[in-house]
Amino acid sequence: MTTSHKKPTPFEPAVILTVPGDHSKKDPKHKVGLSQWDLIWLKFWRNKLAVIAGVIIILVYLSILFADFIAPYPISLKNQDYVNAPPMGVHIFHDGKLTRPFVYGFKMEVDRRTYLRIYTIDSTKRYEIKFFTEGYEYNLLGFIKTNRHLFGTQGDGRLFLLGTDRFGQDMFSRIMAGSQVTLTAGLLGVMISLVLGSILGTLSGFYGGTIDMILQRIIEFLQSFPHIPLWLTLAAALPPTWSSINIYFGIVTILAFLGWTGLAREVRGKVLTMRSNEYTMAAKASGASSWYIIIRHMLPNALSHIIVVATLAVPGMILGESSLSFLGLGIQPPMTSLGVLLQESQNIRTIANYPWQFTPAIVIIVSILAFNFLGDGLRDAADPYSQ
Amino acid sequence: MDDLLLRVKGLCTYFHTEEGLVKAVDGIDFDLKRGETLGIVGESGCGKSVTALSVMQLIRPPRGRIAGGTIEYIRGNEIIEITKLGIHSPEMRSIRGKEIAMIFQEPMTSLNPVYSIGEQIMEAVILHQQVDKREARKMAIQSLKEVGLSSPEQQVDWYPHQLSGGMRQRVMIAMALSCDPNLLIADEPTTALDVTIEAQILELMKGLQRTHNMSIMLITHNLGIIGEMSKRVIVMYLGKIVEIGKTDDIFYNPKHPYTRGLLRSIPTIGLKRRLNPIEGTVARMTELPHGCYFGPRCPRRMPICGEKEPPQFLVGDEQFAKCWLYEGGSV
Repeated sequence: MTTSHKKPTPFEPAVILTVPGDHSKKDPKHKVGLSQWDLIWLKFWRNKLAVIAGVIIILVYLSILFADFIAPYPISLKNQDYVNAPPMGVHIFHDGKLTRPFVYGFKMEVDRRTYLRIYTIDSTKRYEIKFFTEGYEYNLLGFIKTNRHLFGTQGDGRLFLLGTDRFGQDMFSRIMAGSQVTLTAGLLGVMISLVLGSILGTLSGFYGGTIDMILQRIIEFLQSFPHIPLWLTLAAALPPTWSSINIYFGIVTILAFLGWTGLAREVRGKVLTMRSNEYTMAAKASGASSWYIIIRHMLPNALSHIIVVATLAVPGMILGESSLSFLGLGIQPPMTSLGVLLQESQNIRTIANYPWQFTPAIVIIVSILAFNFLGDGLRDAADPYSQ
Repeated sequence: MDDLLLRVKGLCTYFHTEEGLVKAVDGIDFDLKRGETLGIVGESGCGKSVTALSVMQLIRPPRGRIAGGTIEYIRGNEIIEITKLGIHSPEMRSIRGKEIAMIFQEPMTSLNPVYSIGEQIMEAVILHQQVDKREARKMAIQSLKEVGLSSPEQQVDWYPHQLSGGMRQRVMIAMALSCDPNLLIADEPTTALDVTIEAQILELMKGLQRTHNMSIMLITHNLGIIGEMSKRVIVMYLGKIVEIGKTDDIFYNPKHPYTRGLLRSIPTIGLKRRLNPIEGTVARMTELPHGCYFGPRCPRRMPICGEKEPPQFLVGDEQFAKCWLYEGGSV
């Protein structure tokens, strides 16, 4: 029987410092106590691939924030003398001597037989690359008027790091502008679907019954549509008279309104398990209202999962925008996006002769891989108590 | 009357399931005095926890509902009928936690992992009392000290994963006591803990009961705990009270065959004998037997048992048994 007559000690001493994870012993914070977020962060930090992916994503988004500063030319600047020019190599040695970085000029000939333009390096012309040089005028971060750019050449020299397209427009500058549109569309779309998905998912999971039934059927209905035709139909419904910025927001909204379903499902599942959790029962037993329990207990617990799902949803949005633009129903020129850039290069001639015009695809692949690695790392870290 | 705290009359709590109507609690009566500990004991699924949740109005609609009977909570001269209050009403919320607090079986999951234990106690305090954060923190530390944590000033900032099961249950008790409730419902508070910790927690609850002068409704399937903690005990079987009385009477002079069977099935250390479990299994809630629910398993079954449900018979000093054996007061 349990009638032990031993006088109880005030507490069980042996267990205090056997905190899961050994870091607590080294970490001076262990006296205060590591919160769940600390544990998640520590576990995430140990996954180097995810950390690297996170750094890449931060760098990419920082660079598109300063896209105009980094891009040497405006996106629509056409250079008739440099149509379909290959990428220029940056050199730091001239005549065996170390110099400031520079590029050689191009000499252009037209092949008599194929009418292809052939560019050869003209080593008599050297153009030094200047940093923080003057160029076209733009608004830094939208409000600081300036004409400084990270790098560029002066005089009649040109600097095409990634070559030019069929109008002689600088690919690098266009990729910067295109990434700005595509990658922000991904992030913005996820944010909208995050808000929609969290609210509807929580309602569905918490209240259950008829609300749950209706919402789940709507989700199933949306998910059973083939995505691309539905996108196309909706995108085609955007008025052609809209300005390109309106089209941009229209596309983002379409993607978000079709993309929230997965997130809502995830949140609903999480809420359902938490609803029968004992701490929500305990909160209820101590007199908390339903909304209080949702906001204070369920949301913080679901947040780590929401972040994971959102991170893994960004690639879908990026691909969605690219697909739409690639099919010609998304972003309209003169605005550009990675999908628009790819669409412009979708022909056999480009593949055969101007492969540098496919660099936008590399940007898409790298950012999507980075988001996936980051999302996987976050998912593993989101439940810090599992081993 | 004046020292009565809770009076339950004919309480019925039903659940609608796919298999049919489950009468988890079916017409039970009991009352609870101020400062008293009442034990509720029975096998799994006999309606103990549902009784507790009904008192708190935590039965979740639309599946479950309180189908009948009254639960009266007596606050001074005022009688509050809990069954008349809406589940989500502010009145009910102000009773939960402040007047009637509850601790659960599973201390490992009863605390929210994203908040420190201090924040969680403060939360309960701030919900019910007009205090600011600093004051609430002081009260949290005070209640942690009361439940015997070694260094409450530091431990108040700890997170649940840093505590052992026993410490978590102490925190749960601290949280329940932070608003000084009149009734503490403990639903198998020590089932998930090992035996030494169990003894400490029970000792702690006893001590706190004296200092706070509160009543405890102790739900358990462990008769040993009842013997140690409570003066009065209710034995439940399939949603009905089969025997009620003083703990000593029930332990040394059990009347109902089910209670006898329960007591006989406890293993005794040192005594080498075969265990005597009650024969058969608990009937399914959706296919209840006719007459007395315990009839099919009862060693002293009589013809009447299969026909009519027995009423409560007075079988001793404040001891009632729901069994035909005692018809006509044959004690």
